[in-house]
Amino acid sequence: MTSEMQSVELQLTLTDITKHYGATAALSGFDLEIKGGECLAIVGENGAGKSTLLKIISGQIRPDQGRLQFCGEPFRPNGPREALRQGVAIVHQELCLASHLSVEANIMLGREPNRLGWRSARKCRALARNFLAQLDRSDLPLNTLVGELSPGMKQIVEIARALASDARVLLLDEPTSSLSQADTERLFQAIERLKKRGLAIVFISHALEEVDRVADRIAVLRDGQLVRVAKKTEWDRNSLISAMVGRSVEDLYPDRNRNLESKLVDPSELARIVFESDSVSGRMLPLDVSFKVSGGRIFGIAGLIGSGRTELARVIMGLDPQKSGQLKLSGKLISDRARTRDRMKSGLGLLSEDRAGEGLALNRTVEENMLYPTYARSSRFGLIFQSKSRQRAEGWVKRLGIKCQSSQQTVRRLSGGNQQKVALARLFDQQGDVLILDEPTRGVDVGAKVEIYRMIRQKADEGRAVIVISSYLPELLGLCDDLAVMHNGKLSETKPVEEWSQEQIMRIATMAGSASVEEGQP
Amino acid sequence: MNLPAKTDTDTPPAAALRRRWASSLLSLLSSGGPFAGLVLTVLLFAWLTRAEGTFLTEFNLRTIAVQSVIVGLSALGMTLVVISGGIDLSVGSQVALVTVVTALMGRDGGYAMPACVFAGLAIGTACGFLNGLTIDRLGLLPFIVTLGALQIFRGGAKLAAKNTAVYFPTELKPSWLPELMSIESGPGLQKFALSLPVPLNKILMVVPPSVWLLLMVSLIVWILLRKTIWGRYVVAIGSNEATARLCGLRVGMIKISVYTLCGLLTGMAGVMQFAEMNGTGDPVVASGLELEVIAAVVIGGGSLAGGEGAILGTLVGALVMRVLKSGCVHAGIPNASQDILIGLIIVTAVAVDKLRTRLASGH
Repeated sequence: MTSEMQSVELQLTLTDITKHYGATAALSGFDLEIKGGECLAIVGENGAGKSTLLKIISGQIRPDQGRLQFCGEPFRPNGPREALRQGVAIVHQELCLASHLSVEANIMLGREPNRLGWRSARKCRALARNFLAQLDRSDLPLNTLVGELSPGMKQIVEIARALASDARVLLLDEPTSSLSQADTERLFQAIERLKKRGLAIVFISHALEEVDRVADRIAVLRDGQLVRVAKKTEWDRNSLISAMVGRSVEDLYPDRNRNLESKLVDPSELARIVFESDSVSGRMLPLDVSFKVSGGRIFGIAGLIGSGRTELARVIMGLDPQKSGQLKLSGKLISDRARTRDRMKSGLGLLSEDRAGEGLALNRTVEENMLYPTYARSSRFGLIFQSKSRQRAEGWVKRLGIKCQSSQQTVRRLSGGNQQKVALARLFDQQGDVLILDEPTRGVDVGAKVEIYRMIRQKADEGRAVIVISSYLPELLGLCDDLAVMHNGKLSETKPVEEWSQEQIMRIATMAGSASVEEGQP
Repeated sequence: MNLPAKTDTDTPPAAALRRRWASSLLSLLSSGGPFAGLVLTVLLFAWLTRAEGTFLTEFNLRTIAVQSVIVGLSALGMTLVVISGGIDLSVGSQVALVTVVTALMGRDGGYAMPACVFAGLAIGTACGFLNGLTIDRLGLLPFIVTLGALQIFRGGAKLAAKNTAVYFPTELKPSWLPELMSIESGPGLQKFALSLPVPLNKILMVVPPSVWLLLMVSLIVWILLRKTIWGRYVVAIGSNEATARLCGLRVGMIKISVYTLCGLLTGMAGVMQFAEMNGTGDPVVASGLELEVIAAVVIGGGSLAGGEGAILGTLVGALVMRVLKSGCVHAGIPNASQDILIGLIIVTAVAVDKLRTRLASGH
């Protein structure tokens, strides 16, 4: 079967692919060609549609519209298993390996040569060795348990497994995100070898330098559409970045200077609150982070997912251990061993990025989710005044315009935007001086976004210090007063937003031109 | 507990009707489910034993109620543990240890009954505290820790009792001890009732004294769970522990307090067991009780995934278990078939639980 297929030119064609999630289009009218013997890199901001595209090609989801053709035949896999059988394999960011089995067992899993169910150990080992040799990694010991390998080695095992299943199209989803420099280099060499053997490689990455090195063609996605696909030689760094971010900041964001004009807050009141972080480090991330936010200002932290932004917020809140450095609020030192509860009492508050997993107890009511940290305010001797609690919750429902039947409804039934407002109500209800908002508008529609921006600005106008973490650059540029960029756990210098350009930010976030940051990595 | 979802006015009638059906089924399963189960079981056995006519008698119903007190008390504690997302497999062994310690205090220490009862409750509380402390500090799964504790407490009971029953000295036994778990009201209670004004004395005699105790304790636990901040936090931890940490709750402390309270309630169950055996400490009593207790919680609407459970439901669950056993005896169903029947009921209850969570999450 394979020899016959390979005589036809290896080609995967996507025509007019469209995929909607509810009202939002994740991909629309998308055309792309993937050819054997080359590496196609796909780049774009978070939410541009890269992962939707990968899911469609690997059969995890079906497009609403459009056709896929593989080697001239219609390609409509019914799930990743079937896609794999037809020769399309995906290597995920989170690796899917059985960590308690050996390297050899993982490579051959489900494809062991056998006689009457007895696997032939000799043949298995020979085949596994052969696949590793194709990747130039014969040095990997076959008997080692996969759980003991480094992330880079695991990646190689996963690719070898794809080869064992006779894959001819290999989809690599951010393969280098957890790799060291040396492992990345070896991965690129493996990709070169596979290209020479006629495989088609699709490479998704945030790091533009890597894309430059490994890709033959580069496709840029933005807002679910293909901006441009062209040979690598036709792109330069600047044209790539502006193709990725090319968006104007619409009139979504509240006016920065309103509080100064209307003299809403007394300037001395603004100076009262100062939150300082002095070379704070966590267990792995963040590393040596220093910044300063004063009352009335919104401080933005840009950076890619996994750069240590969320970890910084968790260390500040005492949810993860603070290994070194000092946090000061209005001149008062916060003990590095203070627990979450004590940090909240001294005035810190966090909106979690993971709404379903951490931010909210989805099976509990709106009221409970809002008042967990502050039930004591409407209680005596530990007994809750039910009507008073309910009143407080209903008050927030009204103030933030939360659409729900009552404060006694379970949060699971609300839409994403309304769930986020419940989480915000909890944060506001704590009346802390420092608000940390991690991805405040993730999974929220545009209407709710505008409202949330307005509320965040209002909190700053009240004189609080606000920290906003986001993957969505236009949001940070539109909302914040000051900004710093995170990369590999380190935070860049802080500058007023007007002094940053999107290109500059992307350059630091993707590490281009800041090689000095690389040192100090473990 | 969930209010049935109000239907929107602008949905088409068929869809609205279907939604109304789904929500009423939901509320039936979550609140009425255990009750319906209890009524069904009682009716089933009343029909099976209609020839004998010994099942639906006042005496037998009182017997069932008294027999459910030990399971019920411990199940109240277990409900809290299950709601917090944990489990306690060691309650049966705790009961045995409590009976032995209570009896030993009298036999070897010569203490009066109240002091012995206090010691029994204290040892139960200590057992629960140890469970909670180990689970929190070592970060181990409650299943593993309490599985170990099941063996350790049982061994401890045998060691303390030197592998034989410990009899509380007769001269130290107060007259109220046998009345504590009696089915008909004893002379002491009757004398007390006569001293009360007219409606109260009648009410007092309606159920046996042990059942009054169970009901009063249930009310207290219900208030703790539904009316206090502590109760809210217990539910929050079982529903989503990460959220609880994010909100700055003292998760470890609350967990320890839940297991400790479960220990205290199981200690009460132990004292009642001691009274039922007329002042005997038996190191091998109540083996397998934990399964009956967990079954009662689950039949009553508790979810082993945490975050869900009901005090009233648990009481009904405890009654269901007892009605089953008593009914099987009266209907002359052999022991082996009894076990199979009870097993089937437990699995059915969990299946209903799963169906309910699936409906609740809207899939």
